[in-house]
Amino acid sequence: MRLDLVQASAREIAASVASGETRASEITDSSLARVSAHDPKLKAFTYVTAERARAKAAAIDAERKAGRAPGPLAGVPFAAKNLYDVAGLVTQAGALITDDDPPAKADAFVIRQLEAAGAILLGALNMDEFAYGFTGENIHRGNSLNPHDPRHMTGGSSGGSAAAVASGMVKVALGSDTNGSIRVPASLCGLFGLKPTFGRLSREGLCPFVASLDHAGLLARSAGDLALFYDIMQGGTHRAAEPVCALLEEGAKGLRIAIAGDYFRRGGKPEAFAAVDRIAAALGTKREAILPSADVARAAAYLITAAEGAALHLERLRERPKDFDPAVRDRLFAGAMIPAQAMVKAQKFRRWFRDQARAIFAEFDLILAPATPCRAPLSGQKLMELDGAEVSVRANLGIYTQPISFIGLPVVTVPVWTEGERLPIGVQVIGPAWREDLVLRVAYDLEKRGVVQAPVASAFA
Amino acid sequence: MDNEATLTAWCEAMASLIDLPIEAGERAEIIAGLRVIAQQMKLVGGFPLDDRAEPAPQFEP
Repeated sequence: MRLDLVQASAREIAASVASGETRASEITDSSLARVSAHDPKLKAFTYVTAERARAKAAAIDAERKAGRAPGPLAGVPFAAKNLYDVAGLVTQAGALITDDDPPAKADAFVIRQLEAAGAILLGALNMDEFAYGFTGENIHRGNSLNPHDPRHMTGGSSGGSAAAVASGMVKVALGSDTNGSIRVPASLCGLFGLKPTFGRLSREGLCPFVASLDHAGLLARSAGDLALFYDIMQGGTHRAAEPVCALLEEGAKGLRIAIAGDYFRRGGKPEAFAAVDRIAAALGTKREAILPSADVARAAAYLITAAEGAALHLERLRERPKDFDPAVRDRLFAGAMIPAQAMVKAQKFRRWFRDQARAIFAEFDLILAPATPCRAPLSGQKLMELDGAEVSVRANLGIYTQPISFIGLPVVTVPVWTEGERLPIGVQVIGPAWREDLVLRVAYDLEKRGVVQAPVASAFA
Repeated sequence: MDNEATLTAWCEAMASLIDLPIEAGERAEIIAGLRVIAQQMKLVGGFPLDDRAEPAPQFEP
């Protein structure tokens, strides 16, 4: 195989398969061998669908041999957070309780879309229990670990997704983001992460957490691969697909870009703000925009999450409380006790906050903000120092992501590396609703100019 | 609202009302969760909004 599977982009792999230079079966065998070799160190996968992957690859090779075009993602290996239904597998959602559930009868909509385009599913990925966490830690399956330094956490809840991509085991991983669960691990593992507009990608076949806030999305090592997969994942919702790949070359030129001020300039470590400043400088902006009362937005998102999450799991809390991760269970217990008036006010505030954001986007096309307040903490670390105070790691990794997903705005997290540092940190490029094209254009532009990059972790390159 | 006795009373009253087996969890952790919730409710509840403000979700018949 002439193709460098580890370094090649998804587009290059698909082109290589389409031209006949490489067979999908070779790529799949090589990818599965990498998973066998590396996953025990990273705990990214909870299932490896080797048989299914080999059968799919053989079918693609047969299609090509018969003279038919094998699809725009032919042979590209991907995997999905284990809250996506995969036919024949139990959708665990990071929990022990779900082990007794029947296997899924069908694949999630977006998996069907990707496989129809020739992508090859290698398996299901580890996550925080029921997606209620920012650390990538899982008491039942083990903690997913950061490929750039496995002493550190991946971030979560799409922690296995981030570990699988940053170690080069797959090109793209599907994740989900309710309060930051794609953007936090993308930041801590040095990846491009796309949380599209709320409602953009179909949630059919995804185990829910908070219906008011859940988004489907994805992580990759390049903006181009994000766009390639995202275009194919669209559809199946009330909104017509709006492909972005053809727009990427338009870049950042002419876009009015602001740095999020106030709330988004405090409460983090200096490296979080330095990363934003570096991106702002590369994009030639010093202007600031204030999303007012972002602290209230975070609080309202917190209440909606706790209350809806608890309502979803109430029967399981009653019947099998001992089978939950204690850290998840006790927060759900508390969430079950939230009075109705708090929820109504939180939902009213959500619309008010959305209107404030709309007013800002009349003046600007994009806003920059930190993705996380720090680089990856150690795996298992409970406390960290932020702004001179000792605070909970679990509760604070999402302080900058939570107010943004609260109003469903599209975001690409871009990975920033500082010379001499072993771990990356991410910056959120935030757009107005339904403008994934803008956030992906800027991410693509920054990547092309070498400002941001997502290399495979050196131990796995 | 966030003193220990009030939080404990809240916890016990709600657990009893909705049949929640909190004895299976860590009482201190649940109370800590309620303390955070109480703080967030104060923040959201204290934000001035007009009576006519519409909530975000829309029901489409």
